[in-house]
Amino acid sequence: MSSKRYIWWWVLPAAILFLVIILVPFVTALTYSFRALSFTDSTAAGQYIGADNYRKLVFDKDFYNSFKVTFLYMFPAVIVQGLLGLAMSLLISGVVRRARILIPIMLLPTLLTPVVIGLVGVLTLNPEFGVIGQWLNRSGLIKEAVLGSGKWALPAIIAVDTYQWTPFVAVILTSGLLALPKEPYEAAQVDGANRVQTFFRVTMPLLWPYFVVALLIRVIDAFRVFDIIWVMTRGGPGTVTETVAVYAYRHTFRYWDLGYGSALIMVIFVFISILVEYLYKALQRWQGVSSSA
Amino acid sequence: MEETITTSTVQEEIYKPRSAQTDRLLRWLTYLLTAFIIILFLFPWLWVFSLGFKTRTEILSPNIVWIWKPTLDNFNEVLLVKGYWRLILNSLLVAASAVLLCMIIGVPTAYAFSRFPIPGKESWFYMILTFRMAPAVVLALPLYVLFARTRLLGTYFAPIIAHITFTLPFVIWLMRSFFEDIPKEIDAAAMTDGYTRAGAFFYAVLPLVKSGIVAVTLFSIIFSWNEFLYGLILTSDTTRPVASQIPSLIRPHGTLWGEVCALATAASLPVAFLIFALQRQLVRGLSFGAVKG
Repeated sequence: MSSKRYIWWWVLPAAILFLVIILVPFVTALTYSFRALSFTDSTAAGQYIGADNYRKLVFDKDFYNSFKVTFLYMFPAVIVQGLLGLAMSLLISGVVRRARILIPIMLLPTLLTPVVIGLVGVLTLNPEFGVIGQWLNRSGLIKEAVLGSGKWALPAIIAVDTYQWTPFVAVILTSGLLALPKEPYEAAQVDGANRVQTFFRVTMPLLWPYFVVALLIRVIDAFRVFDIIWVMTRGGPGTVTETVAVYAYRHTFRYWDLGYGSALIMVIFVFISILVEYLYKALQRWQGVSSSA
Repeated sequence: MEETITTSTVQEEIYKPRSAQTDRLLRWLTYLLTAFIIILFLFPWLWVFSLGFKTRTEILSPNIVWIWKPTLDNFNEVLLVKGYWRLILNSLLVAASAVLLCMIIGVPTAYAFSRFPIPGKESWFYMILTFRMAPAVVLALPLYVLFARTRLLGTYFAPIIAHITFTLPFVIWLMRSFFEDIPKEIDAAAMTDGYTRAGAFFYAVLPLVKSGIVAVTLFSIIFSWNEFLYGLILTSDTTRPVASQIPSLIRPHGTLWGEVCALATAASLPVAFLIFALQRQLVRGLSFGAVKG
């Protein structure tokens, strides 16, 4: 047996599985996106309608709204988490060696069931008996129920998201800080740089790749977000917190419009592949995967 | 303040020796910070979990009850009387089956990716990563159609297959990075000793990545346990995993918060336990194997 053919036995099971449970269903959905297919409308029984679903999508106000909401949620969340995560990593990088227990505690919000963190959000923000909601209400800062308010629902979700993900950014940056080489600092000291200069000229450039990867992961995840929003507001009030993923869910598993839903997920998929390409390049540069390929 | 702590702790040896007084001050700041982080990240969980041990009146009291006599009534009612303990078993069954299958298939594949010149290797990785990073709804619709056609909707089979779609890429991705840390000379030495390639993999390389395998397994279990959307739409009331059921217990009016919190506590404890077991590998697993170390 030639060694070339021998290789395939190693990857064959995974390849078959990938083909059967991911690629084939996905391509099926691609064909649905060119059909009229709905469980709630008997006239839409799977007939070919060309690009009509995509045309409908282009003129759908709610579709644009969902992208707007996603970005309104993504940018503040990622920026705040990036800055807070950096501050936190700078603070804890000195502590971490002595207090290893900090890392798992910090990562509780990131790793514990998202549905339950949504529940934490719902309950702490409850205006009648929630620890934070009650305080907001009594102090007169926010008079209404936070999650039922068109003005405050999205900021509240961003706040919960920040609570969940800042530690993740901080932990990645901390691992970066602890891995920084010593020589540039010695050079900076010889050159008589003060601490602020050292930070901006030495630490930040060296930390930058870690920063890029952490933020890219956050951007992609902000695009994925569903569980927490579903638990906290279900996209409401109205469509104020309806992100792309929630919008796609509404059209597929609420309205059962499979044709239109398929077109939607194709657009989302194209969007994600662009984001992932950037992430993948950043990872390769960082890890040197390309050199071993 | 941040500035002082960081640069001084990261680069302790380089900067001028500090006075004993500054040293003591820094140590106290460290303790204070540690305490602050622990409180900040534990308090919201503890508060929500505490509701599971309160009666309805205590929960809904307009003045938050800080001291009370803990009751197990909520746990008894939701787990035993209403029979939701089954959902926890469902979660366990789905996670265990999906992860076991993914480890058996994924680990050899990851090894092949780390050792053999597979054509188009990086493109495959890029594609796998894209599917892994897309919002769950992108694959949920195709999978729903697949299972509806094969009459597998509502069986345990459906969520297990669905969880494989995100577990398998994770296993392959992370295990590959563990294998790449093992020098190829080890395989070569084993094969000179008369082992076949499979024998070298099994007896020489696999024992060296044992801790990696444990970490990847536990991580995969956490992600499967936490999953929400597939568990919701592909299952029936009897086969649904616990995380997917929790949001439907939250209603606009008359939610039994005590029971919801009791169920959330029961569902979170195993994950919290795993997070502490995974301390060393947390960073690597979370960043998808991107961060070395």
